[in-house]
Amino acid sequence: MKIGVLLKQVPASDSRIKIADPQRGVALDDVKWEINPYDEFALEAALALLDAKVASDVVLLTVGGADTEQRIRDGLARGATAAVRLDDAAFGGSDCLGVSRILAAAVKAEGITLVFAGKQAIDGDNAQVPAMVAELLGWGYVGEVDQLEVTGAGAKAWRAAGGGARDVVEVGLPAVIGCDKGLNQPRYASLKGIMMAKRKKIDVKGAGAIGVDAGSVGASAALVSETNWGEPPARPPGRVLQGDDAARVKALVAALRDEVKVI
Amino acid sequence: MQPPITDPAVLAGYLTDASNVPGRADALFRPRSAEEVAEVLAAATAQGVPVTVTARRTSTTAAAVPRGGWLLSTERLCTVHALDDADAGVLLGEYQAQVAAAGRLFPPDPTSRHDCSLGGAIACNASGARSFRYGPTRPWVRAVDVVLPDGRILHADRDTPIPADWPLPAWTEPGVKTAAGYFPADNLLDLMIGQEGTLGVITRAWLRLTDAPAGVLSLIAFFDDADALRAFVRRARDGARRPGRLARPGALDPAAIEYYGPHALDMVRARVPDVPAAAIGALFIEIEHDGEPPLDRWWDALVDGGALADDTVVAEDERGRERLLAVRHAIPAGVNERVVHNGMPKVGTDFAVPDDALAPMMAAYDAVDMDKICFGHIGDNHLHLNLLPRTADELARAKAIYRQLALQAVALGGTVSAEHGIGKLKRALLADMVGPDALAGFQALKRHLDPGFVLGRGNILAGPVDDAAPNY
Repeated sequence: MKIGVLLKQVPASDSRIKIADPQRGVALDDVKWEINPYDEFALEAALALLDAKVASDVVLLTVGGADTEQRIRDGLARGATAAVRLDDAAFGGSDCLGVSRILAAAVKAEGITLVFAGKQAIDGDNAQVPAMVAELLGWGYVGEVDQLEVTGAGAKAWRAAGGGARDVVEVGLPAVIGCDKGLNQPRYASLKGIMMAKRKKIDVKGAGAIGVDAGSVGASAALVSETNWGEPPARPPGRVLQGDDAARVKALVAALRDEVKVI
Repeated sequence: MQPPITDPAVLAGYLTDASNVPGRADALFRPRSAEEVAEVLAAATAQGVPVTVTARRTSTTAAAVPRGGWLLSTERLCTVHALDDADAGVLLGEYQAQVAAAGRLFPPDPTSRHDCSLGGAIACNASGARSFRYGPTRPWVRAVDVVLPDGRILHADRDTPIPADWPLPAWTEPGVKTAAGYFPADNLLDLMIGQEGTLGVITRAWLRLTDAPAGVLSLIAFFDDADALRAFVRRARDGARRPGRLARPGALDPAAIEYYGPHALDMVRARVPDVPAAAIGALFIEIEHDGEPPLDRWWDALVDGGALADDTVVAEDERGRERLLAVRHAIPAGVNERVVHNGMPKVGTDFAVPDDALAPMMAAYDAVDMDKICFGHIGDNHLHLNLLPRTADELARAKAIYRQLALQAVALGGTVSAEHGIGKLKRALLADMVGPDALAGFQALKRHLDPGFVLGRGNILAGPVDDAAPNY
């Protein structure tokens, strides 16, 4: 079985995000990048199947420029067997549907029969791509999976259903699995793996190589347009209540009742 | 002077520290300026009331535990005035984050750095893993404002002479990383660093910064042979940059070398993936680099040095490093579980010895026949042996073993406290280490500055009333 892992680089989770321009988005010059944390659970799920010899290959699929290669190499260092970076001028400005069309085409072109992805990426928090990839491929999709059993023909997946209840979903292969925290404990990269990863080749493929219609992706095909970027409203400043204890208590009670409305 | 807080419910949060020794206090002051600190100390001295300085209470030696009297908290001295100028109550980790955001580094990295205050780190001359390369806190402090027990506010840097009438103890520190006793200083600043809140209260500090490295490679190398592990430590530190010494060209030159012994690895196996079954010890190593991590050089050294090289795990960024540190953090969690299960406190050492004494000291630790775990700063020959007694009899035996090991460390030219300080729990060990003449010198200095032993009573030296060291 050949497994695909959708790998995205995102700003490090402790980044201080600043708006560069209300029309253009956030400033990325000083941002440190890392693998989307949910994608790490996806990668570990795939590598566990490789270790168990249920899978024969684990292929990383990333849409992005050369700046994503360090993250791809991190994935190769953990044990992925191959990587494809999907890069084409036509891909620029794609919305989630466009990115999903690129990835779905690549999955098909690579002959992959099971896809693991993070349930969402922590930059845009859209949580759309894995489900869209499955839909475009006509495959089943199970999201927010935190426990999984894969056999040759299908998978049984568990996820939280709220209120302590659990969903148990059985899905036939091929399928896409959206992975959540708790599914596994991602392994460390090994020194040997990092050195071997430096020697592994990252394939770079454009629209033609994966058979995606260039007109169906990119900015011109995007159904979602970004109109404005802004920061959340600043928190109002704190206020120090003045006067003697009785006056301050009275003012505090009044504020909690009339302004904050919690009593 | 601000009125003191006497509400027992508020005081309750200030009565112990990481030592878990219980304390008692009558009142709490939370001054907002050096002047307010001075008012409290002057009043305490005038009234003969003991004052214990409390910051974030991460001391493991009961230094922040009051034995009656007043508490003086530095928590409201919390302004970062400039990148190299901050109040004593600022959290060390938060200050370091601000420094790092500007591409600079303030190196001291005690394990408690996200919980402890800057002033606390200076007052006990804290150190951590990176002290291997950068030394303890002392060289990274340029000046302090300090309030003496009589209420005088002084500014001290390394050009500030110690007043001629202060009697200074004549003694020589052991040539190892140490945080035991008053520093044999030739200036006022160095005297105030490491005095554990007994000679003055540090209210503000001016710090020395260095450029942050372009990158840090972190790795954990596992070994199945203790001799090979120790030989690798010797090789790794050979020619490395150390405090006051540049690296030799071609040296492996790590910034930190930490050790996890066999029982520590057993403890973390349940919590951390990727610990090989054959491993009996591991080294956590940090390597600073200029952007290109020296992977090949370390791989060759590990293969050549007999490590389980294929199992070496690495991190090339901060997030990965935090994940590797999960191994480190799993150890105290495991120890605490064991302590709760046993219903007995642990007994932990903090000794450091010279390079050539590492093997005999580790042999002495290995020979201890009791539930134990050993880990720590092997680059500085500074390991923490934690004894985990299960019964009262074992606790008594653990304390005896502890004293015996301390004497052995001293005999080997080491220190009884490399980083935790003396506080109230290690006074007897300090006496063992420095001898009666130096101890008398410490007492003379203390008595000159604080005749009533008001400030930090019971820390480093026995007070005039509370002579008994607290039990633990």
